[in-house]
Amino acid sequence: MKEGTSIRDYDWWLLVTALSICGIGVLEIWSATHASHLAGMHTHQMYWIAIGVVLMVLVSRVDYHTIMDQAPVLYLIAIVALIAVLAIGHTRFGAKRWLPILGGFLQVSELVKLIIIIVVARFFAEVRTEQLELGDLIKVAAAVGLPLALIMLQPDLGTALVLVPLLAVGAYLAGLQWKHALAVLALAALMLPVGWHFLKPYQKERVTTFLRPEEDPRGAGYQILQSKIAVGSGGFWGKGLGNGSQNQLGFVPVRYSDFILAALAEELGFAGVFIALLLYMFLLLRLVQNAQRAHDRAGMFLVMGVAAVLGFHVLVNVAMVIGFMPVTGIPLPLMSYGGSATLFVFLALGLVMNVRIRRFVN
Amino acid sequence: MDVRSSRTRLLIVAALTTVWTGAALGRLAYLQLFRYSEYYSRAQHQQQVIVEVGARRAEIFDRNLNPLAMSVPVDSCFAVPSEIADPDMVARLLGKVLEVPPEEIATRLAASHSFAWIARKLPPDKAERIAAMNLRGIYFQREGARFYPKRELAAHVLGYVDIDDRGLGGVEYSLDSHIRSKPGKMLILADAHRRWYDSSDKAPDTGASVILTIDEKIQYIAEKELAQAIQDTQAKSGTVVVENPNTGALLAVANWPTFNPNAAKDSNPESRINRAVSALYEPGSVFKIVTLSAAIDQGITNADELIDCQNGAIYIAGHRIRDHKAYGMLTVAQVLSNSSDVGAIKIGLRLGAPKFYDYIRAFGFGQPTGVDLPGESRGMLRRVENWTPVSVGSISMGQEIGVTPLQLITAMSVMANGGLFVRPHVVRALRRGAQTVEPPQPQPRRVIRQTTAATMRSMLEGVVLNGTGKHAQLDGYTSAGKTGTAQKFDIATGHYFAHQLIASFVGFAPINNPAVTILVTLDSAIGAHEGGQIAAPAFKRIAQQILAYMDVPHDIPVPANTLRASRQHHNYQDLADVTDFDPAQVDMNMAVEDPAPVAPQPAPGAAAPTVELAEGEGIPVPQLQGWTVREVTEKCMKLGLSPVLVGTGIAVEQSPAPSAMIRRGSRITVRFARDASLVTAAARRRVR
Repeated sequence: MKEGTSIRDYDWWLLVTALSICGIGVLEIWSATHASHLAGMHTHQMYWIAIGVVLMVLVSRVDYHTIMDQAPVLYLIAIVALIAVLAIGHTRFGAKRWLPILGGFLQVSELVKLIIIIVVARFFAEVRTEQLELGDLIKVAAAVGLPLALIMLQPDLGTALVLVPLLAVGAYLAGLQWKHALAVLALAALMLPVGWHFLKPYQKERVTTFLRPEEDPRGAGYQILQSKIAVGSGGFWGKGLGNGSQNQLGFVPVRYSDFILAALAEELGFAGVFIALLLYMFLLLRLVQNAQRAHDRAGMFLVMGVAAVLGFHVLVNVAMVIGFMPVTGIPLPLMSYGGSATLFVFLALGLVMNVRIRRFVN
Repeated sequence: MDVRSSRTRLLIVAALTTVWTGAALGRLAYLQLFRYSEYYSRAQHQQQVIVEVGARRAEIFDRNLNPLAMSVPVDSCFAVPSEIADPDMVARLLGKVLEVPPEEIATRLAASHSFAWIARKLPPDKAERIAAMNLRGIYFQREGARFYPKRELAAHVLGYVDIDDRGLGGVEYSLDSHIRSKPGKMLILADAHRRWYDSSDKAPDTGASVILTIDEKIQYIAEKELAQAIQDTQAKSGTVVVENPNTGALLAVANWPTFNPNAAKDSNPESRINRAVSALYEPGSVFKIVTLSAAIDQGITNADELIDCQNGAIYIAGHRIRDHKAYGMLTVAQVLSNSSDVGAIKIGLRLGAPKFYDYIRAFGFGQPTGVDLPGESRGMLRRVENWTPVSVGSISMGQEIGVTPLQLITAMSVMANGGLFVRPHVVRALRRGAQTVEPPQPQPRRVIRQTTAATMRSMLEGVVLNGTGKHAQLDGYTSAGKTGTAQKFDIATGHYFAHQLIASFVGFAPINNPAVTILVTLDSAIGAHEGGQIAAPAFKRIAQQILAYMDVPHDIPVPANTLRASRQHHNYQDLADVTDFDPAQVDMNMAVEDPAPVAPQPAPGAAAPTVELAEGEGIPVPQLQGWTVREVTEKCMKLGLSPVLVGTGIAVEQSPAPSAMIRRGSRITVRFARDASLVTAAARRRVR
């Protein structure tokens, strides 16, 4: 460990914000499950948070340059792990996403996200041209494309899609040229009808449902509709913690995880959800600021990779809950229940702290 | 790439984050603030099913607090269809027990996800059989079933209720808001899977119980004698009203045909008409009491004045009116006792239309009496301006005017009570908790002078002593009254029926300080059909029994040969067997039980013990074996226990066993049987 790096240089505002969001999450998980057979989930979530904080500290201690040096090895591990999941993974909710590790189950794609952040940061940090060249763009896209395809095979469309903004934000900051951006968008538009055929029936249904949600309120449109009803019926002050009838009676789907914001909006009202969203905004802006102040390009790209992934999670999840987007199954970082996801966020924050405490180091 | 451009691009990312947060918050504000009420009601709608549970109605008592209408707790069965895996099988099983086609139940189950009534107010045995099947998704709710323990007794006064316990006739209707108060609510919370998540009962508040002026014994006498008279005369319908002339309190209101309010929906609508207040008919000669008392009150004639009855014929405005008999010179008193039409017409003509009209109105004709029963007719009385030249003559003898039995008895009570119009009424008091409120009665209004009333009373006694009403002479009591035999007017043709007559007798007894006024009308009797022939004897039988029951002292010597017979009139005790209590048959035609051991009746005037429902310490289970269904129920209600009655007859088994300790409000199951050996054994136990 180098001279001058100290825990005192942590971004304490960032940590406090993250832990505040976690606190709201634990409360809401308790409220959503205390009266059901899932009671006790909030305790588990607190354990995950505690472990996450420890991991964050550990990750921040190892110089991020050292970590980024190991990018090729990490990338290899990621690809092997993804193939292993497809081969011997544990199936839950109709998807193979889990590897048995240490007596528990690890959602491999969460780990992969972290590795891809490091890989992408390393790649762009080494691009020294004023503008991003087409050759480099294709190279990095291919590097991200392989794990993305493997994750889609699980299938886990949501997590796979997270890698796209990671790539996009990195490319943008690395000097993406407008003509390339337009070409990629045009290509994506052309690929859309083809891609549609590769979607699973349930995924197609989610999209059609999103476009016309009121058509079948008992079937596929149910989740979005119930979420909107829960949010809308919360009003300004909400129904009170533990009193959200949509939530408590199980109308809100997976209310402790993907739709936790709907449960929150119902029980704590606009006031509660306003505070939650401001916390998220503050968290994201704080990340951008850390990227700005990073000591080098590597640090900036690392922090912005984290920001891109977390930002995309928040954006998509919130948009889903308030009916802006179809159901994608992306949890709300720090708030939704889930071990792997929570650990991922704290590991990612560990990388941010890592960059932060080394900003003045020469 | 220089640092500046990457810095710019970071700022753009930051700006986009802020813009997005703003957009999300805007959307949340739209959903949560602007469309709040819409989403709130949608949430409510999908989560809650509110079922109104019929309010438990309060009791209706007679004047001595004998219950005439009560609510017994019964089970209603409902389904939560989403919990039922195989609705067809459930429908088949339930259909078998309930004896309804399974398709009917299946349709009901298919109509709703969260709630469907299967059967309301089930007899206990059926409820138990359904409960024993232990079907998933089938539940029970306690409701109050209206029960009229005395069956037809005072049916027209009490009225009846529908399946939702709404009063539809009689006092049940007119005092519905008092008796029933707020209905209870059963709130069912349905979760996302439409499972019955939770329910909360909001117990209905009990309404105010009603204490009637009706006396169940007098009512029983009136109904029994009316039924007897109907049987004897083959009349199509009839009415008996008994009133306290001094207060207007109606002691009995009996009509034939009648109905059993426990099974009102199966009864003929005709039989539910309360003829006492709604039947409209020409009073005939009874109305002469108005003509004569008006003339006497005006001082234009007196009881002893001689009237030339012109040998039974008189011309008015070119119309010849014939008397039923050719009379010569009669005193005014004789005009009344012989019921001379010519005499009455001449007196009416002397009085003149305007004065006559004023008296008719003052006696209460042509307007409702204001009785507290629904469906009262105002009668038919043309305004004096519209009278034809014949009108005064016709009305003098009770034609061209339509009256109700209640108007007529009220007019007779004016004679009996010394000249006052007293509003007739059936509600003595309302009791809510410990508080008893007597509805205010309007101040009695003077119609004729006291002296006129006294003159009329002695003239009316003459009718009974030596006129058309001889059959109304009582043993041991003086009596007075007036007969009437009116042709029925056919509204359809505008003519009188040739052979349909309404016979009536309205009278009171004893002469001085009358205790009761009694009206008897019989419609379209076959054979003997005059008021004096058929209505007066019924009056006598009724008056004789009521006066004895009321312990009115004799005011004339009792003929020796009838002394013994009159004692036997104390047979109103057989009232006790008019019914046997069996909630199992509430909704069916209640079969008359075998003569059960006579229940000890509370002495008249003694307050019946009130039902105690307060929860408290445990109480010992009473010994119930050997008692009738009704006795068991009364006993249980007094103790605040909730009886579950199985079978009919005499109690042979009970659970819990006697003298075990249970809480008030607990259920106690009693099985009844008719099997001779079991009954005898139980009866022996009872003696012990």
